[in-house]
Amino acid sequence: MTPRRMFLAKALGLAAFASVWVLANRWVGDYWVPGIGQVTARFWQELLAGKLLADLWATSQLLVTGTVIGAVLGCALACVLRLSARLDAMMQPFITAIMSIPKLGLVPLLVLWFGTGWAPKVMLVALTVLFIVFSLVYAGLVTVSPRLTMTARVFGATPLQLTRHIVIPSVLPFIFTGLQVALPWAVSAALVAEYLAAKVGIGHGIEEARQLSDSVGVYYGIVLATILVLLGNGVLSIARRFAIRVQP
Amino acid sequence: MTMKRDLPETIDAGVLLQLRQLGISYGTGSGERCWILRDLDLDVRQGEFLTIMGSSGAGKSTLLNLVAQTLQPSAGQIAFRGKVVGGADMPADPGSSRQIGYVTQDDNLLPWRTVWDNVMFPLTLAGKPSASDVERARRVIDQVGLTQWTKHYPHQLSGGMRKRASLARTLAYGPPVVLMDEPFGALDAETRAQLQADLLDLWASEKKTILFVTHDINEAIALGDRIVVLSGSPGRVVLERTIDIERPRNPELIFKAPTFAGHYDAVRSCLRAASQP
Amino acid sequence: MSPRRLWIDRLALACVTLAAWEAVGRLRGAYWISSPTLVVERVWALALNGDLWFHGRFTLAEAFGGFLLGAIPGCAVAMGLRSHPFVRSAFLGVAAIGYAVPKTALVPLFILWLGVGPGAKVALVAAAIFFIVFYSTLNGVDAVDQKLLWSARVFGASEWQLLRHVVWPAVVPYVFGGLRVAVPYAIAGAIVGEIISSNRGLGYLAQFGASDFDTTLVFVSLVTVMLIVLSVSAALSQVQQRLLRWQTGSSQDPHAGTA
Repeated sequence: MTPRRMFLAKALGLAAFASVWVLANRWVGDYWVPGIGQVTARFWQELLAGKLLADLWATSQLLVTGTVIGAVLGCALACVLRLSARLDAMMQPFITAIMSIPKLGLVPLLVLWFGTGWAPKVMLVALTVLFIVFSLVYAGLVTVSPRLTMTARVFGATPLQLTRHIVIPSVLPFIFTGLQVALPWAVSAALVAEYLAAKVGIGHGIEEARQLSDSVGVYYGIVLATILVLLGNGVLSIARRFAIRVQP
Repeated sequence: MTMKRDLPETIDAGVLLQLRQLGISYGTGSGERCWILRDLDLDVRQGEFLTIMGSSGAGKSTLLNLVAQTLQPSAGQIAFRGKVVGGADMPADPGSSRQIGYVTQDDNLLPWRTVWDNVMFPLTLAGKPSASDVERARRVIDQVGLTQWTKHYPHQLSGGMRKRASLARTLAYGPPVVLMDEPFGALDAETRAQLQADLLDLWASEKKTILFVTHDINEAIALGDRIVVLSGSPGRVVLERTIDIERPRNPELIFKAPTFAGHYDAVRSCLRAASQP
Repeated sequence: MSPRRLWIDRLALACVTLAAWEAVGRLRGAYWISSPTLVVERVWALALNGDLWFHGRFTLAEAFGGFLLGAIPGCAVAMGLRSHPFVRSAFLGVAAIGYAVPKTALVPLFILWLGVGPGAKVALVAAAIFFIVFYSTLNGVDAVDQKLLWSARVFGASEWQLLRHVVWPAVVPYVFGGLRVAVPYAIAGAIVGEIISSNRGLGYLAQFGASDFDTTLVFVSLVTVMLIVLSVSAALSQVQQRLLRWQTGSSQDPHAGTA
């Protein structure tokens, strides 16, 4: 498969998808599957009204804040557990148990405790990201080459220097992978938080549209949410390429 | 002099490194211990070029690891400049003195740094490198022939080139004691001869003490003041032979030296005997 | 570290945590944080009067239904695309976009289509599980030894026979891996769907408890879900070991099977 054929295939795939959409619209009507034109028109409308950017901004803020907090805590937890074998072995079953609780299932509890403000939403996103990043960084810390560590130690590296020059570069790919894997789930978490306790944001927009039986609005929201995920992927890819020049 | 146990009171001022009754073992899980090296005694003088040979598995690399203090001995002691730095009761603490450089068999270059950054790495660990440090690094990179490759990453280099980069890294760091574990093994004859000559120049001009592990008897005789052969299981020193060939030597033509044959035969028969079970 | 020491450590941690929880619950009032004793009591009560099973049944049914609805097509499509590279490329392009759609973004849509009943939850779970199983199976299909395929072809095997006798056995570990990963997500999906909008199920219980300021109920729901996921994961782990005894070197992720 040459790159040209692959591109053609993907283009045809998208075209097929669009055709299915159009046919579905013709077949079941606007309530179930609004036309592509209608959704596009709504996009334009919301963009001009400033609402598109406002919603995107609100959800992005939530997403980024929660992701950063979750990633930092996830890395920290992984480091702590890898530094202390005793703690690690002791905590295994507890970590597994906590990870069995779907983070989104904590929404009611968080809202009960912290109300409908900004805190429970950020916490939800953070918790979602935390365990995903933790899993990957935890696995990644094992791959830090003991030979490289030994080499650096013979050159007189202090523990701080070891962390900076050996551990972090070795683990960075795992951190990025963790972030990339976590992204769709983090966005999902942000949306759920917004369904239940928000006045702005993409999630709020979708839920509001649903309550008004505004199909076009719901579709518009879904597309907007997808765009957010794709944007996030793009940012992470660029950041990754910038930060990691070579794979160890 | 702060030596414990059975070490002579007066130390010959020229002795840099002393290994006494050195041994290392590991537990086999069934309660027994398997000794890799045992009862190993060795003195290394300041400024000496010592080549170490032995059959595979005799513990040559382990010996270097012990001297570099990346492993802790299970028995015996290591003394450096008259002070005990390693023993069964002292946890391994490599790099504390910053006096020892170690060129390992695997190049151990940091994959995420360019050749230049790799060569400068040990110097940056010790603090901001001075202009003379940078100058020395440049010179060493030229000597090993990697001038065109400083901006490349290790994965873009061949195995031999990575070896050279690893060598340059230790030489740029410039420690007085250098441990080398078969550094020229994977290189072509031309490069090897060049690097051997360069190494001898460096050693002579900077008065380094070098411990050099090799499989090649020619190389051992060409480079070393003394050859030490390890053998047995557990390993110990079975042959110490002073090479009395005059310096400066030409490694490529070492076989022409009058005493070469004697040395060669002695070492070869020792190795052969060692490899018989 | 001896196993005995380890279990003493763990037991100690569990006891300390529970004791601290109980203490805080009593001091600050069960309103905010409930307490272990209250939770256990309530679990017992709900188990006895059948409520727990009533709601649990719905959640499990939604999870299971969605799981089948997503896993079977996911696996089938991945295997079917094996010998059609062009279609595969086309499909993967669209699938990538589908994967990028946050599944919870679809919940309101499903509710719009299917109302607040179980249908929307099943659809949500199916959507999430489809991609997980699809991509896992695809990895497996790609990993099939080409030499085995080639020699079977030389013996005149048809596409169907190839799939059945060469591809499928090689792919099973990957499919299974995908299923194992998917199960907690299936249950999570059902819970999320219920939280957003439902009148039955464990997620509904949690949401109801929260809106009623009945913290104990919320904890009961969470603990029940946790126990369900843990036991299903453990059971799957056993089945996997049995089924794949001949496989060496499966990934040893201690946190596998968690959401």
